Amino acid sequence: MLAYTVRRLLNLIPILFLVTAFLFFIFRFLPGGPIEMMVPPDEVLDEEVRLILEKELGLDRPILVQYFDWLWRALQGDFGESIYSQLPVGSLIMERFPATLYLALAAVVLAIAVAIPMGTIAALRRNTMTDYVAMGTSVFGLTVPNFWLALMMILLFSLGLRWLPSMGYVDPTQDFFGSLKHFIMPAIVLAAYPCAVATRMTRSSMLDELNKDYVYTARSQGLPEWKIIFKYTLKNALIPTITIVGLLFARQLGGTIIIESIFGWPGVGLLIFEHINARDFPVVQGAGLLLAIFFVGINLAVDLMYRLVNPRVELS
Amino acid sequence: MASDSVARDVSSRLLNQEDIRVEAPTLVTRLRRTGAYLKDMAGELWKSKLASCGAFIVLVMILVAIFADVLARHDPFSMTDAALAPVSWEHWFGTDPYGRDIWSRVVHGARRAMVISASAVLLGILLGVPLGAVSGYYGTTTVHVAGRQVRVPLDNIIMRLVDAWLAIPGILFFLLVVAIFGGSDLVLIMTLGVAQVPLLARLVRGSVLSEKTKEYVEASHIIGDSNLNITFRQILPNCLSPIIVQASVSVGFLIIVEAALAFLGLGAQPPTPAWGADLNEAKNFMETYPLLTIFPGLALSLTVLGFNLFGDGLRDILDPRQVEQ
Repeated sequence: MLAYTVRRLLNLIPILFLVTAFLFFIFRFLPGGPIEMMVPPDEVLDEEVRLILEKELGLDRPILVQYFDWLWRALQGDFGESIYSQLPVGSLIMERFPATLYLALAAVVLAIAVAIPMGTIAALRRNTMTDYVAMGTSVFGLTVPNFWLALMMILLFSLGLRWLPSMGYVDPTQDFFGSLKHFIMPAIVLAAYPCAVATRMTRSSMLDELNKDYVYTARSQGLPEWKIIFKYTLKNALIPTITIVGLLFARQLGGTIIIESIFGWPGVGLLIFEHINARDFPVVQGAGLLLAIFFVGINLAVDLMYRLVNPRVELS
Repeated sequence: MASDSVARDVSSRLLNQEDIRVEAPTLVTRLRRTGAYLKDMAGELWKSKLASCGAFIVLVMILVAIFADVLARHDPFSMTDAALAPVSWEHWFGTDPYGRDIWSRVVHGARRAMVISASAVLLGILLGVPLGAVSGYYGTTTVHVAGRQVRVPLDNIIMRLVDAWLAIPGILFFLLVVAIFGGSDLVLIMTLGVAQVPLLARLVRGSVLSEKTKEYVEASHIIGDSNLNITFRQILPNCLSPIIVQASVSVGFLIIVEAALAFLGLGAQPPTPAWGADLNEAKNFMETYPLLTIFPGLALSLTVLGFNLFGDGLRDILDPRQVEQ
């Protein structure tokens, strides 16, 4: 297990290396480069000023030197400064990160809290109306694009019923109950897809478990059905569910870009969206790298946990 | 060893006896076989209510995309005085703030969504399938460079690239590329297509790995078939099922991505009739005219539903191992 963990960690190095290379070099394809972006469109940049600016930003050096310089600083937690606001990128990201993390966590908790009971009940009441309703709902969650779901919810709950605010964010560590009504809609929208996947997963792995010999034995020994389910099958059936929720959670961090821009949620996603349009690349590189690190980190953690609880999985 | 002598016997027969060589099928027999195969599949699909429902939606959407010019009752671009008209016989879905007919725009949006995502998936298959096949079949290969043998861990290299590719959050990749290279249709197709490569490559690699241990591959080796021929003409045709399933699901997924990008203001720009771009415009009129946000979104959801159900149905038929109970 230890050797496997070390090997997986070493594997992360080339992956993250390639990710940083992508994030760095793609901005070099910008027509005119970053300096052109700093000039208002109706002004013509003086050649002399351009040279000074290039020198100041270090853009006159060979591109590989720029890349390794950026990488070396990034490893030390220094992502440079925003081209527009001149603020350090690291602090910009850290300022926005909690909002995204809370939202993602709320969505995961919601997804698990709904998916596990729903999937279990659907499996126990297989091929009944309950099952069909649960599966139908999950197809809905898989199908409806999250940004349209967000619009429809705003239409219904904010504009129609006027129950929930359509925009804004309250820090839950400051005012927990006040923040709840801000969290409801974004969390539901973000949870819809993972919840649907997890419901189907729970149902199918629960059905798998219920067909196994040990359940047959337990039943023949007269163990009550609820005990079989809660003590044995559910535990085994939840392994794939938790795994898939973990993986989807990692992917959700990217999905927050759309949701945050709809709900005006001041997280990393909105930060990326705002700065991508402005082509403020230090910010986008830093935030993108953060998302990628989280993504591979959670993937690895889920993988290791999966192997820990299920030692039969081959360590290859 | 009995099995050894049997193998020798079989291989000597394969090598010496002309009469057991199978004739290469002619084009007509090939087409006939494909036709029979498709007919079988349609029959299987028909058995599942949900799958045939999905197939029906997909078929309708393809027809709508093809005949968009006929079905649209108005020019999707022409602005009239009848702004924000309610649903009526003249304007089935009403009109938008510029007096354009929403039904016509939704119908033309279908064409756009289908063409872009189908082309992107095709591109992804063209790039990803050979990559995955090579990765799975060759593993580590030896290359002669300047008279020296160099071992190239092709599989390892390709799979690490795929891992890195998958580590970049999808939507971030699309946003970056579109923000930098612009949101023209060509850029969109290339970006969405390239983004499908890692997933497809990994999928194909997996099936090639399990397929290459089978007897017919060994037999091809014995006959003296080239590695390239074995990979692409013998193994790959047996790995088509998961590719087909993934292609169907991917088309649905890319329709969402394309719409999401347009919704964020990247990709399709007004006045292009596109579901995402229309929803982005409609967002500004939600308070006064909520109907605008409903029809493009419904069309989008329905199409995606169709492709998902169709993909699920195909998976049940083609890939019985993965059938859910």
